[in-house]
Amino acid sequence: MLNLTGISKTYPGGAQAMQDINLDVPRGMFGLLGPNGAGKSSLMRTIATLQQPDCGSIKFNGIDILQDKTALRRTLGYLPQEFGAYPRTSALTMLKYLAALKGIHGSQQQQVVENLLVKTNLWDARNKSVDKFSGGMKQRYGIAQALLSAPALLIVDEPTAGLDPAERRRFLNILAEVGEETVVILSTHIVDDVSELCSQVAIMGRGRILKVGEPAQMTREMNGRLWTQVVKRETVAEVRARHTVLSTRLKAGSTEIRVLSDTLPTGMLPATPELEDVYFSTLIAHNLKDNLE
Amino acid sequence: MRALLEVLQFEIRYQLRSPFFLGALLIFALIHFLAFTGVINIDVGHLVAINSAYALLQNELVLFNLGMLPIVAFGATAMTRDFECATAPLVYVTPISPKTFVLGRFLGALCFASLIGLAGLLGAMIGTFMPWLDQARIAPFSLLPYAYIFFVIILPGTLVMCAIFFSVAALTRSFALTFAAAIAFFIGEVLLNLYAKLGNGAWAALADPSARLTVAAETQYWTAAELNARLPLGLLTQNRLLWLTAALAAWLLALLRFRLDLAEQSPLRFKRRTQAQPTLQPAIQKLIPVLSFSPRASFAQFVSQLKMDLSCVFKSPPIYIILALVITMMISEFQTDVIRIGLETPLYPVTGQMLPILRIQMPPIILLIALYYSAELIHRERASGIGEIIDASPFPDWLMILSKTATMCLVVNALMLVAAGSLLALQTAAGYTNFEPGLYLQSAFIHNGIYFCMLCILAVVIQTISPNKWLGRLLMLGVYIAPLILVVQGFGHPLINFNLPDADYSDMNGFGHGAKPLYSLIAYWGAFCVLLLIAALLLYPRGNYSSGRASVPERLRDARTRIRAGVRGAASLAAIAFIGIGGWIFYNTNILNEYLSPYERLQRKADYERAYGRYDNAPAPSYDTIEMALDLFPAERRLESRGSAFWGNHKQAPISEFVVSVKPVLHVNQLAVENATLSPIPTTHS
Repeated sequence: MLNLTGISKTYPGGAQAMQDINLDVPRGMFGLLGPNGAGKSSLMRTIATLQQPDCGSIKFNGIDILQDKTALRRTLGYLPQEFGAYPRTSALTMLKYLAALKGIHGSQQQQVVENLLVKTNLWDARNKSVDKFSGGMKQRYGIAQALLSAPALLIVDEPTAGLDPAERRRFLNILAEVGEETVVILSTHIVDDVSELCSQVAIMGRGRILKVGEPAQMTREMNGRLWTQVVKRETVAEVRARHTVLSTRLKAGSTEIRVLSDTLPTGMLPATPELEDVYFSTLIAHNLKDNLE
Repeated sequence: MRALLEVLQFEIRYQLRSPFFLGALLIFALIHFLAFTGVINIDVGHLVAINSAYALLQNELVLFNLGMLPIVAFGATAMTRDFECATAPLVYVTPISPKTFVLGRFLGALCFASLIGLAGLLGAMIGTFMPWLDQARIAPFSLLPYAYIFFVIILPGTLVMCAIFFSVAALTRSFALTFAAAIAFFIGEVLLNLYAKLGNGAWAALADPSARLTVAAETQYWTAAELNARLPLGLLTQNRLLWLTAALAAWLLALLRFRLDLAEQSPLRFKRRTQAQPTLQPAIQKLIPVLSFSPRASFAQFVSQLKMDLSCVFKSPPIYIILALVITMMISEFQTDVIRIGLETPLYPVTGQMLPILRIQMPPIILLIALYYSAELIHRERASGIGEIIDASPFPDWLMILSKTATMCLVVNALMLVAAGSLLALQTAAGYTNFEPGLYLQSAFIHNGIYFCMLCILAVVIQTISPNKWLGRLLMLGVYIAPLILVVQGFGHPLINFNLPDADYSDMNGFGHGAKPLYSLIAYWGAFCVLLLIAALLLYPRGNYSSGRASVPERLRDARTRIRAGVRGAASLAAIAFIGIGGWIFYNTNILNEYLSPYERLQRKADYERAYGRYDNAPAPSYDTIEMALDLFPAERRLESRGSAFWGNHKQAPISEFVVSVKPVLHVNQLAVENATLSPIPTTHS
């Protein structure tokens, strides 16, 4: 559905936001994982027609996005990482206005907006000004506006940051429902969001795609290579010196470490791989370990 | 004490980085400079030295009203800033006493507000040294008048305004309410001036917060020599003391009442009643919306955007303040120019007398609108954080720029409607019944409205190109003031002066021959505005660009993708119209007629005096009888005359030679003097 070929972008200061990105994104939920500054938002903005890359091409359903921005915008839903609303304007007014900009007019405009207000559980707050919304309400308003035109391509940039567990769950459920019929690109640095929802995932770092695949397949590949041990805090440095430590977790005074190794290190037990382990091992393999500590 | 110093230090660091402070500093110095170099003319009489205390005083009394804006901003934001930036919870829990906090913030605001006044004074001082000023009107430099102005007008005035609005802000914790109070204060001042003209001079002079009436009352019988030498200190001192006492009282009230707490509603704040909402929610329907992008749908998109932009203007407090200002100014001008209270015989308030009021009073207000709202509208989406969502929506590129321009033009015309309506009401109140709504409409919306819309379009285009609001505002101010300076310097040709001339109206002749050039210029600048709008359409920022200079090639690349057949066609038509009409105007002004710049006109007068000055006191015969026939052709703006006159020599000595001069606009068929020979002097003068 969505094909990116050779996308690169260098900012004037010399920072390379994207380096030769090639991706094929099928229908369904596609997770984009990466540490802060990995280039996720740059990539999202580029797909959303808001930023021109230095080179490369992006095609969606036969539309050349870089040549015909309008054609993509007609079928796009976009929820940026940070967004607001006009001050002193209610959610209802904002959504109707955005619906008009997206080409929805007449009686169906009212219906579409009401549908989404109910779906995102904002019906009771519809006459409240959006800038007075709580974090979760604002995020739900954000997804409501992105879904107005029933988009074939939905791009959501770090939508669950700062949400409480109930709000996060509600939000992910809405996304999962949409993801059945459309291409949804979800960028996040919360690994759990991706492992629960996405059929495909790409891990990004320093402007590059480091790994692409199905989350289940990725974790399967790690079977038999992941080990764990509970050690004293003082000995962590020692273990680090001998093994590839993926993560350390403080637990009741001691530290649980997870280690990647083809053979069983002495004193360790086998561990069940999770997507987080894949994520950390990928970053370490590409020398992006400094991002972890 | 240490806490106080820390609060103060923070204020200083904060303001020194604020573009508003730096911009206000610059604008104030510039406006004063322009006032003293004759670009903005504040009349003090030609016998008074430009750098005398009195001239400084008169200028300062007018310009200080402009200064109210930054003073109110400094006084109010010192107390409301914590709520707007959401820093109140952080600042209010620090172990600082409320009194130290209030004192520190107040001193900071006062310090920076006075610096702006000082910058103005410095601008004035530099202005008086400019070489092109009439050196006969420059007194030897003395620091005394400047010190006098600073300590008698600027410092007490700033202190009073700052204290009053600081206190209002401290007690209401609302910038909008403080701003509204400032406008109420200003309107009160205008009403007091009216009241003074009704013969209540003494009381009003003492009470006038701007001290204009005070100075007028104190100096009205002074001679020019006194105006140059003396400093008004009697009544003015009393006035200052009165207001300083009032300000101190307001400030003490704030000091005593202010608490470092986060009580959301202050007692002065209106609580909006929450509407009872039906909680019944509709059932979700399975609905895939049909998107439409036909021309009709695009128009619906435009209407939706226009509604949003209009609500941006009409939901903001400044527009109502400006409306109140318009009405107040119309009342004030009507009383001064037409009813002429306390001065002379009142004029009959015919509509023709009302039109110049529109022409003279509205431009500064329109400039205010153009400066403020063009920035608010163009940068609105990005400022409210909705820019990316909007930019990724499928609307045509022209939509935003046209909607913002239409909003500005509608706001301007709404103000003109209010102004014309006010004048009409005043006419009615004065007993006038022959209403001429058509004439009002023609003057308000065509003769003036179009020029004001031109200004708005210019402001919109500048803001589109400018990366931020304040830079855009400064640029627009520069572009507005530059032609005023250029005209003085001799570059006033209508083809390069972005302005429309005023068409004089008389009840006998209507707009007469003034209308034709006006309409040609409307068409000429109209075509130019279309070109400006096309430039804005191409350069309107949509999406994310690199910061600084690196954004230029990116925006130009976007612009290239927007050049489509329609844009190219409209641009070509506008360019052809602009050049064609411009050529026609040039043919009329410079080929059919002779065009002289004001500078050349003066030069010609000087040359004339140099060439024929020697005949000034030479003996010449005087007319005994004149017989003349005049044929008037008003439609062709032409007259033909023929006739004869008898000259007699009533001097003691014979006259051997005298000069007969003919105006250069006259075409002479035949000119003969009996008993004398005419020897033509080849000349360009007359």
